[in-house]
Amino acid sequence: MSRLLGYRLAVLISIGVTASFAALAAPSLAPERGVYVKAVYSLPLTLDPIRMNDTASLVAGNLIYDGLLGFSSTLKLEGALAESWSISPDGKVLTFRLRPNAKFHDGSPVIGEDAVASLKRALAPSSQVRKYYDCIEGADGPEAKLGLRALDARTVEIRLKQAFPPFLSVLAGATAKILPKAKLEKPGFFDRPIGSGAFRFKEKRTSPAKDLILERFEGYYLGAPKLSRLVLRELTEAEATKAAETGLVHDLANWPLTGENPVFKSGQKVTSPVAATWIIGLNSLAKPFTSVATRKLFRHDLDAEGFRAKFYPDAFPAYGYVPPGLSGAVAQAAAASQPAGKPPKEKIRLVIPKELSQSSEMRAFLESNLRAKGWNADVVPMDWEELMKGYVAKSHQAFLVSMNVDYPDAEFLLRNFESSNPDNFSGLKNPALDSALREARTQQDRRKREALYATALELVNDSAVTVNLFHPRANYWISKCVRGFEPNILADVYISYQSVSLTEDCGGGK
Amino acid sequence: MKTGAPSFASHVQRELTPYRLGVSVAVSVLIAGVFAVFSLGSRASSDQQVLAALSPYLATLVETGDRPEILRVLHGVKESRNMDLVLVQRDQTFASTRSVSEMDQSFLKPAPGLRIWGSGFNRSNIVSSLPVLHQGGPSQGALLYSFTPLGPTLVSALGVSLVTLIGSLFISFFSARQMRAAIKGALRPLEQLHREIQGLSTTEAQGSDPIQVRELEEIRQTISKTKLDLTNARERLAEEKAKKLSANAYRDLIHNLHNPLAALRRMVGISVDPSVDEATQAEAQQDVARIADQILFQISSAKKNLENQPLSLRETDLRDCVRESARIIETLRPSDAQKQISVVLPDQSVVVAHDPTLLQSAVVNLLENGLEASRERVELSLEMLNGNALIRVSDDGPGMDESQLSIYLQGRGQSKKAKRQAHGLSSASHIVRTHGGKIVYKRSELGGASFEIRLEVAP
Repeated sequence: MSRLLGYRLAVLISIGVTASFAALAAPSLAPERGVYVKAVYSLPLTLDPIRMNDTASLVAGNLIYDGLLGFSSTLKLEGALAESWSISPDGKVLTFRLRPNAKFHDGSPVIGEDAVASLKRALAPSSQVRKYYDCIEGADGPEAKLGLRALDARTVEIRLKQAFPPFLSVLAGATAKILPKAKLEKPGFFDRPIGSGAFRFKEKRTSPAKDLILERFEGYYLGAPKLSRLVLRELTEAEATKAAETGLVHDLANWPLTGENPVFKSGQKVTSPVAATWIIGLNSLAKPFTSVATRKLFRHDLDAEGFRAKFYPDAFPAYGYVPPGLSGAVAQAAAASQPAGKPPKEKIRLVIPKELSQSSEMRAFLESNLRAKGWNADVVPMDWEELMKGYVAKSHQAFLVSMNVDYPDAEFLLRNFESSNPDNFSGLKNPALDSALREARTQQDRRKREALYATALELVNDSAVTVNLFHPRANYWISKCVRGFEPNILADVYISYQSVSLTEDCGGGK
Repeated sequence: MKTGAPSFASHVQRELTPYRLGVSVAVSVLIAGVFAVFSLGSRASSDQQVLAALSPYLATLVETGDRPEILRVLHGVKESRNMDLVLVQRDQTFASTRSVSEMDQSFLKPAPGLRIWGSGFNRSNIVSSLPVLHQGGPSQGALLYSFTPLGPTLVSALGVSLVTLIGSLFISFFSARQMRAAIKGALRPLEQLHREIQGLSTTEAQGSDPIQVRELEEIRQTISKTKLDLTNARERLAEEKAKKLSANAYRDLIHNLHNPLAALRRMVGISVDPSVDEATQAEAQQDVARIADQILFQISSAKKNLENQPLSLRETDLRDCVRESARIIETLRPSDAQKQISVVLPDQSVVVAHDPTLLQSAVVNLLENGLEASRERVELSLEMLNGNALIRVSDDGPGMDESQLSIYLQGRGQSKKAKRQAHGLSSASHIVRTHGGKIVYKRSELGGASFEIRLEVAP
């Protein structure tokens, strides 16, 4: 599933936006000393990990919940709730040993049954993340035969259908969170959720600003975080930068700003590569993109490099679908020959998120570029919510999105093109691609697996279902008061706030 | 004779202390330097080996562009070896353990610094680099850099330096103690020689052991011969003095005999003078006999003193003579004697040339007289006064008529306790005169008589 980075998912009407900005300026919104305010483009749409499909929800989820495993800032797999794990020689059985001091926010210990119950939920039919866990043995059968077992209070066993090396990365990802079995199914649990993460849910407010307030969890197994309180505050990008300049927020990491943004004149700029690719996706089920020749011509004619240079000059050109740093990334442009054919006469509607700060300019650029090449193209800025609806429904012909990586493996990106994947936005059905992906999943030999991924990528490239625009570089703004902020190569969702603190003159503790 | 100057050992120690400290510091700096060079070189070599070991595996990962795995490998090495690793491809940082922000940015080559042993040394790091490629394979255009902080190695070198400094100071302290002991041992022959030289001023015969240092032994032998010569010279001098004193004694005897002889002649004249009455003549005849006895006694005494006991002068401590005299008297007294004899001696030695045997007999004579004359107490004392040694015998008796002193000193006095001539005082006087001294009478502080033997002390 793709997620759009840096832009609101829930759209506020202009009055609401104005009102919230005005409210921001009120003295009551000045940050309380010692309280860390992180601006987000949207408060979480859900706090249920199996329904989290958007960045805003995942940001909150990673603060409140922990999983068996986690990623360090440099993508090293680390134990989180699990202090150790082992893998059987055939790669099918994973055994995790839970930490003895892991506790939920209500003080109850994290036990094996909690892990089993949480992962079972991920496999529920209603789960939006089920596709990541369907490699578990018995995922498609009765629960009694499910390959999830608590061997004792501290030991969890997961049996897979076949060896799937990236599965450890899935368990370290944003969706594999462990919740308390005893309270999980009670009504209203997710209105005041209980997790085992560094921060506990305190309250959700709608005035004077839309805030999600989290508090330090003193019993956190890695040690209590340095921040006593962390507030997620919903703001637009313009509001957020204004608030940053006036000292009302400490963190704009939710927006990957360009390096030249004037907001960096105040505060600190922390840059990092991020595993993402901005693309224009082409729906192979919608005319005129049902023709691969048309798709190739469109890809050739669209000035991707010009778009990048104009709107995201510090981003890297995307010569391939896979971001740099992952297997399959392309470092140099391949020699491109002029595809045969001419642009079709059918109208092409290319939707772009309206919330993009330069959506109007982008629209003008793309329309000008395409029309000059003979395309009957309209570029339509669209509310994000509506755009996502069309994405899910596969009703858009072409759409501008950012493809992010939940775990550092090319498989995560490639599975979007698997025929059986409900998130296959392009509608591509390629048996050879499907076969390569299936075989790669079970391949424990790294080189062979990567060779299969390379084959799959070649097939994706040949199918021309994406116009690869650029790979963004994250430029995070944080306040000068902030210490210990460390970006994560995957995404801002995975930034750990356990070690973040505020300086003493900003109300931080000693 | 002690002086305020420091001893030879202290002098040597003081002179050597700056060198000892300097050597300790120099040795510690030298060893620290050697250690630092050795450990830096060893670390540089080890880093290069690590890069060489990593290169083939990283080449595989670079080929596939698998940054997450590269980062896991690099961080694993970083944690175990306390070093940073950066993989650079086409002048861009592909993976780095230093900072996430550095990745996908242009790589700033480290300042070259000093290149030794195949690695670069700048102010803060040992920098090594190696192309990433399979053995015998083509280059990926990738370079792997390692940055090892110099700090820990330099801190270790500093630690080694401190340990060495402490150790060398301890060794130098210990060796200084040993040196002092050795110097003291080496000085023993000198001390022995010093004693030999000191012994020159004594008349006691002292045996001495040979000194085991040839030069000093020659000096010791010279000193021994000199001492013998001095002793001989002293004895010759004593003989000459004794002869002189004997001549003086004879002269005194002749002088002392003049009056008795004149008295004898007068008495003889009276005894044969027909004009004198018979009683007077008879008394004069008795006086003739008495005076003749006195003259015979004085001549006999002088003859006896000069012939039987030649004067043997030795420069020894008079205190020994006085103590011995008191001891002799105590021995001669009855055990239940009531009268008390007290002896008062100075703390310092009183060295005077004297014949201890003769002088003791003189002092004993005076003590006998004192005990005879005293009621309860006699005091024997010795002191130095105005260049003279004074041996004083004082009693608490009735004292003596000073006008009779010369008669008694000449041996013509009568004993008050025994019906005989009192010869003790004259005998003592003679002995004292042979020493070049004299006996002086005073009233005692105890109430009786006080006889002082005054001997001149050689300057």
